[in-house]
Amino acid sequence: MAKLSWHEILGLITELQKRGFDVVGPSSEGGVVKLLPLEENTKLETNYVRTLNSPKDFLLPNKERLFRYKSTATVTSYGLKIRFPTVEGPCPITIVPEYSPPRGRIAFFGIHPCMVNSIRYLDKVMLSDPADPYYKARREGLFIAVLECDEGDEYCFCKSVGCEKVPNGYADLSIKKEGDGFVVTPRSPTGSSLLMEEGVEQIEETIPKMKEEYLFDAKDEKSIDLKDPANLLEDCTICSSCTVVCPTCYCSDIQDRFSLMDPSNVERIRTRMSCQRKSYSSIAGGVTFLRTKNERFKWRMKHKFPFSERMYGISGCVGCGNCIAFCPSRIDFRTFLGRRVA
Amino acid sequence: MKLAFYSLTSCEGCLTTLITKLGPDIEGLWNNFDIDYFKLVREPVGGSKFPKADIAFVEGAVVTNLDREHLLEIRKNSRFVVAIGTCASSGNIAYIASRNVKLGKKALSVLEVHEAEPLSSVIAVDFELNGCPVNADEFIDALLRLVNGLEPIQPDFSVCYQCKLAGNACLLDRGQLCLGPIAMGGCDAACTSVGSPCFGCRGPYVDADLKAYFRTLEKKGMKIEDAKPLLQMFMGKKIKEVLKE
Ligand code: SF4
Ligand code: SF4
Ligand code: SF4
Ligand code: SF4
Ligand code: SF4
Repeated sequence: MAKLSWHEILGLITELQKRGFDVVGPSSEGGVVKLLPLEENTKLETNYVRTLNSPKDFLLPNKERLFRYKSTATVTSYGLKIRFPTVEGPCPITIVPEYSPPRGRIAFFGIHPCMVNSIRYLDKVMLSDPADPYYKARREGLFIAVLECDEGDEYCFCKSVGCEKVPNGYADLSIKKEGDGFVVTPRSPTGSSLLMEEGVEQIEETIPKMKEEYLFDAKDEKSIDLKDPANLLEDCTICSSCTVVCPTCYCSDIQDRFSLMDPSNVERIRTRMSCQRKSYSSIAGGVTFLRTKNERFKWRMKHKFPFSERMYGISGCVGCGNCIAFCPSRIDFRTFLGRRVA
Repeated sequence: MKLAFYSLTSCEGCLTTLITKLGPDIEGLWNNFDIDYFKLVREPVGGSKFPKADIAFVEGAVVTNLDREHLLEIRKNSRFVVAIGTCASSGNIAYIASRNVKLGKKALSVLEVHEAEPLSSVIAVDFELNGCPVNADEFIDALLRLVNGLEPIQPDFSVCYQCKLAGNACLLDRGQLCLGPIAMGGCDAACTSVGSPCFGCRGPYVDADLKAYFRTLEKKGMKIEDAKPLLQMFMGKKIKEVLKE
């Protein structure tokens, strides 16, 4: 354990960068706090409750290139004809994917326990067999410096979903604000080497004070099916913001990108998807399964609670409150799923 | 494959955007396709003014009698007609503007000026690329899909979706009237990302819920009456249809 000044905290970031980490931490930009690469002109923010984006935006970046391939594009008298493996049957042999795994190690510096819990959830999803190679490569050697959270805002409810503490093995450093300085505790060998200390310490984690607490009744799908969200969703414009800002929403879509300049050069990318979007549940023939906002909302709730509980044994919602705080209409699902107890 | 690029009543900003924004791709466009007509760049001298084309891209709204005649000719001579830009897809600003003035017939002897209409009011349109101006990436994507016999994709998400992806704080929370929640995305939230509210220049998005949007505005202490002129500014005929529902 060490008591560090603000200046020394910044020194830790520089040291991490020297060790080859891309350091990402909370910073104020455009009137909102976000996780940003901490560079010379990006100031670390330690007085904040929530960030608009989350670790997923770095571990599972939007528009990530998966590979390139050469298509069998030909220019005929009919013009240009690109042959897609999907359109032309099995993959023609001329299609050779060029795959290069992402490089560079990520260090999250100053994220709160709810966000650390979101990394655990993403690990469960992306690393379970078969592991996603892109996620795995980014995840390897991940460094986490947790900034303990004293008090949440009116949208926070991590305690109601058991995510107020850092899961085992998910912290290298714990940082606690104290007066003008910070108490920093090493929680992994990498953490202690950074502090130039010996050994790893167990600490009594700060449990964030909650403005509100809830008891949810969402263990199985039926309990959600039986409820009618029509009143709750009267103001919901189905804008899908909730899934963009949710740290555990990982849905993606696959797209091929090509340029007119060199049509034989195709880039396959992974982009974001959302169950609130029509295409999420649309199939060939124009049928959409989740048609109304009520259905889409229920699906979101089912995935966050019963589905995740059943597949991974943990809550898919870490209680960060982002989907409420950043919803343009402030749709708050908490009293829909349960009741307020404190 | 033969392409043609036409222009009806408009600022010609969409075709200009294609020329300026395609960058090196403009060469690919020129090399890979037969382009007999490209307003501002190549227009046939003599012969038919509307050559046969596999895909015709048309910008602009139908305002004059000549627009109407030309559009019917274009439809006859083209296998696939794509409306490019908001004038062509919704009538844009001209739609509401031309309904708020008394259109005098005296201006030019051969030219009759009518209330502005999108292409779809006059002919069957096969696909619409929205935006004021049109987005060059979406244009390439639509073109290459068509070449391969696939239907181009219309964005099925709102501007808010991309606004949040861009990491912007919400303007509604600062009391600025933003149409993002009901506006069709695809522009990467170009306006809100520089701090200016969305005016919905691509029209309403597929799941737009106007009632919920109005309730949201009221919740934030804004007036529905203030939103209506904004809604009518770019969304033209499309918002008229949504408002009716
Ligand atoms: S709950 Fe809110 S953020 Fe989610 S789709 Fe509805 S209005 Fe958008
Ligand atoms: S569902 Fe909402 S509260 Fe739960 S993790 Fe996602 S954004 Fe946070
Ligand atoms: S299904 Fe919906 S709620 Fe679940 S991860 Fe995907 S976008 Fe998020
Ligand atoms: S600023 Fe506009 S587009 Fe962005 S989230 Fe708010 S309402 Fe949506
Ligand atoms: S933010 Fe709105 S007004 Fe601006 S380009 Fe996008 S759709 Fe058009």
